[in-house]
Amino acid sequence: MTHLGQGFSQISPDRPILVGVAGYFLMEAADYFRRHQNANTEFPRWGQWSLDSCTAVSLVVVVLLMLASGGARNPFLYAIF
Amino acid sequence: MRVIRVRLIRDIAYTVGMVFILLAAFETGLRLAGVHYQASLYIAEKQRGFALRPNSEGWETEENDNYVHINSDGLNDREHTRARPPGTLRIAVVGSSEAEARQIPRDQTFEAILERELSKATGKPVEVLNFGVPGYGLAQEYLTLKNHVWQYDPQIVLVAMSVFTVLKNVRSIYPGGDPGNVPFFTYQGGNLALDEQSRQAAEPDPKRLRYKQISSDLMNRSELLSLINEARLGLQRRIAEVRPPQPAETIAPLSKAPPSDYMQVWPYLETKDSQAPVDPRLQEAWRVAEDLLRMMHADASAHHAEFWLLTLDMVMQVEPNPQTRADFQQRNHLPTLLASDHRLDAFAQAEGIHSLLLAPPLSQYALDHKASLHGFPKNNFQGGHWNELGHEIAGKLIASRLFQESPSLRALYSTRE
Repeated sequence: MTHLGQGFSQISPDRPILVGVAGYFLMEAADYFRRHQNANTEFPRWGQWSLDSCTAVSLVVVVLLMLASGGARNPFLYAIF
Repeated sequence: MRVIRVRLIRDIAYTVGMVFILLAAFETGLRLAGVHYQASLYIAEKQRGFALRPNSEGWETEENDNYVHINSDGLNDREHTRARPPGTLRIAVVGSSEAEARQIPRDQTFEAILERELSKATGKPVEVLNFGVPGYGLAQEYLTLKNHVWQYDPQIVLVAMSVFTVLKNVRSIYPGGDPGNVPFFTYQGGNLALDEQSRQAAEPDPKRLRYKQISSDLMNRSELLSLINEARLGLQRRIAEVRPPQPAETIAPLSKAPPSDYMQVWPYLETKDSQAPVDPRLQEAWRVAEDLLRMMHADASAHHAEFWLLTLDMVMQVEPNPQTRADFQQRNHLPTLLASDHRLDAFAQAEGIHSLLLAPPLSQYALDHKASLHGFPKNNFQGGHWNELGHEIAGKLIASRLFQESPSLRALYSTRE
């Protein structure tokens, strides 16, 4: 489990600033929604569904990034179908 | 009622659209960040177990990031006509990942350098065809030569193998465990033939192959889909790491199991006191290797082609730091790192096979120039395949030796005047 974060560090080792900026905007967006979740902004139904779906998809992508590049590779396994 | 249904459909459509936009944003973000995941460039095959998938393309990312195109005949090479163009010398290179060379751009591989050097030296067109497939052992290379190479009518065949390839000749000591559908030759009544398991291998399901081709092509073109595949493989690797070892090993290990670092197999190929390996399975592996090379030589002779054995180097043989080499030899009780190479060379000489050992000259180059011939910045030059420099030096060495000794080249050169 301690190595789960390795996927992030290997996303783009030669473009750390780009990854950092993207991460910053994601954090800002999440913080905006956190601060406004109790406000009286009434989302239309499609808006609420879209928000929920996109949040779920984003979480899935985060999990995929964590899983990718995980585990020790077997140097002898060439043809993985 | 109708209004409610229309609104429901509209809301679902909006939601799907938003998710689609988000996925497109992720795809764009991954591309902008320069993220690449390993492409799927293989296809299952009954005869050789697996092969490169024709017309596939994608990123190689294990050691170095390089975009790979497989041609319509399943070669990591440009397109070649089947018929040899008049006046052209054709050289076929058969081998494993070292020959296939997917880590670097095609025009920098030793095959490309060999082609350029020989064309320049002879003033005649020379084509070098790359039949290398990562992971192949000599059995698969023999089947490649027998069933795929001759349709291109080469005059020279180069078999490029490292001593590590010897280990791939016996099912029970195949590096990395279960070899799956990889074919093996065994002795039956004193003759070398495909073993029962290889003969009975099932023909891959055409529908499954078609599905595989479409899904892999889609995956190779999308970083997001590649990410899903990479996560799937990563999950499998993690599960394998935490899964307790199987209690009933079907394969009895060698006296000491080969180390996971395949570049350190000398202790299993060479012994302290003798060049002859002591484990009976290693003896079998050497015997099969020599007989497969004999069969390839005979096949080349039957097609009136010159046959060359290129014994490639292994990482420690060309380690630029002499102290590191010495430490390795001392740790593994190895008086030399060239015993297996010399064994192959002596075999080739005895069989009348043209032989070129690459380790000694490459070793000298690495020491003289303190240069790493293997590895890339991505792995901090810690082993792996030849880098651009390794290919360049090897390509020039092979070209020089062929130019000096190849009768086919001499014949071509003599017609220059």
